[in-house]
Amino acid sequence: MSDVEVLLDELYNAVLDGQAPSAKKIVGQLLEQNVAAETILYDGMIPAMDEVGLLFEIGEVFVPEMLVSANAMKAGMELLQPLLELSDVKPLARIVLGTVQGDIHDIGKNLVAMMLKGAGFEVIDLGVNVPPARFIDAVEGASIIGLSALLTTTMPNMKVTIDALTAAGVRDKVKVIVGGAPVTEEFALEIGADGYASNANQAVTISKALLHLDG
Amino acid sequence: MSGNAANPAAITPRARVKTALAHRQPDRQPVDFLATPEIWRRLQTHLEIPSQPLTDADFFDPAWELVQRHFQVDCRVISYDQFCRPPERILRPGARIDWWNALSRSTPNRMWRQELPDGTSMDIWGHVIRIVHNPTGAYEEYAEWPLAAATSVDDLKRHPWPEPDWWDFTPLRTLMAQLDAHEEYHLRFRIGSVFELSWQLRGMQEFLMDLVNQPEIPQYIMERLTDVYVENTRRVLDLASDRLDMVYFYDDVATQQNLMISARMWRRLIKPLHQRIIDVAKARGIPVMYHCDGALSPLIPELIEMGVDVLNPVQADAAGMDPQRLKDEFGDRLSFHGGIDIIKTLPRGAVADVQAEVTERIRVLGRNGGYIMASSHHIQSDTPLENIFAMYDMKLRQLNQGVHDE
Repeated sequence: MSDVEVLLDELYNAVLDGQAPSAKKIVGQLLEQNVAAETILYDGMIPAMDEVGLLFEIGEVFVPEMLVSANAMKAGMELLQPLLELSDVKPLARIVLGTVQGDIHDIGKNLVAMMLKGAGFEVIDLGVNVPPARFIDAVEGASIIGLSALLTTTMPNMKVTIDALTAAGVRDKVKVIVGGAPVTEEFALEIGADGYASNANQAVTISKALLHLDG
Repeated sequence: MSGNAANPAAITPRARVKTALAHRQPDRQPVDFLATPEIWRRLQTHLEIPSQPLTDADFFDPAWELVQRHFQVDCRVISYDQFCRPPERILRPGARIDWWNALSRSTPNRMWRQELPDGTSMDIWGHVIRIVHNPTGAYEEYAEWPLAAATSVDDLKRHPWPEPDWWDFTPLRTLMAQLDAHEEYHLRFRIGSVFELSWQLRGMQEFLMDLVNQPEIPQYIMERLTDVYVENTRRVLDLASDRLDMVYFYDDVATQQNLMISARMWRRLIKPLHQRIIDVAKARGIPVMYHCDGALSPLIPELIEMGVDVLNPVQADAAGMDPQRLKDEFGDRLSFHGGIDIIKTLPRGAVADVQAEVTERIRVLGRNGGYIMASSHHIQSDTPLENIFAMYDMKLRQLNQGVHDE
């Protein structure tokens, strides 16, 4: 293996193990060797996050490990992001996320945001208690809108939001995915969503599938 | 007039629950009741129960107690947070003590907090809570995570940690006598959570990452809380182990699909602390009930070994939590509390759906006792009252009459 390959391998492991300081350090070393930001992202960090998602799916790692991996990737991205923008490397797609109106829970949504970023998406996080109008305003340029709710009493606002997108004439411009503890696949279909994710990793899988980015 | 005075031969709610928890078929299915404040108030209005002015001398809201009596609820909860009496020095300038306004109150019991002049509140642990109003209602959010900025155990030590003396259980026997004056209920003492409250003090994301990167931080927080719970429980049982029927604690460590943290991590960091709480109860021969939402089936065998007698809430829709499977696999050693779905059946089902689910749960989980029928969490504010009346229909509680395996 070349020096660069060794470093990329170390970066992969640093992200997998959630070692933020070493991930950042290795990214710095790779940049010093004139490795393209795009290569560091797509050959080092994203494969590690894919692996984390896979391990999560089979119950080998849990939320804490997933979080530290996402955090390690974030540390590396601090160095890469400006360079990616300079060299005009486009993210996979833009995904807009928010917890629906009336609901202030954000832990699940934040985790989804981290995993989507980890997979190479651009994520616009509208925060919590987001009224339908703010989702409508954010549709421009977005490929997917992700709606989150934790409460059974706020789940109906997912439908309200989807209906508002339809009424504003922008529903067919984006795919809508939904998730949150009380949300089910059946409910997602019932309210006219395009996809449902029961965890942060599935949010990545379903987003890629909806945009035909998988495989 | 009390039910027992009218019919001295009738079995008391306490005896009914104890029979069920001894895995014997009681005279009828015992039940419990948990709901959000909106539901309590709507029921109170519907049942035409007048409100009474509540004072700092009250330990529970008598109007809500009458709601429970209407449904012939067998269980009563006495909670440690009814007995908070922290030192004056923790009161912020201009604060006033409130016992009744917390939106998280799910029982008739009072809950301590200080209301601050800027409209926020602060609980005994140091959370600052803000009530936010929006078109769909009011909710509370944490405005400050008191341990968010800590970077070392030394930082954590500087937090004004509650001490066991911040709770005064002297009124406990008076409170129990008030409840017993009407009827002898099954009384459980409720104590707090270890993992859950700890991450709420630190912020969840930070706390979960700490578990991997600097476990000494979560460990210190969780130990400080456990020390308080253990000592409080010990003091309460010193005063009333002859009358309290159960010790109850809660800690959500699961999601809908799986555990939130690995079983390995749970064993290393959380299980020993839960064990300390259980051991206090078990040293007096008092049964233990544990609440954890979601898919915790991988931990159930260990929870039984640890001494858990009753598991709440049985979320049938969570992975691996099918009631029939749980009853078949663990029903001879473990009792269940909960089971009626608050996500779909109660808020969105028809009366017939509620009846069908209650029937199914009582037939499956209540066979040969071992079950206290209740909602799988607090009944949520958008639940039609007719569904609640259907759930607590006395006819359904007779379902297992005459059904015996032997």
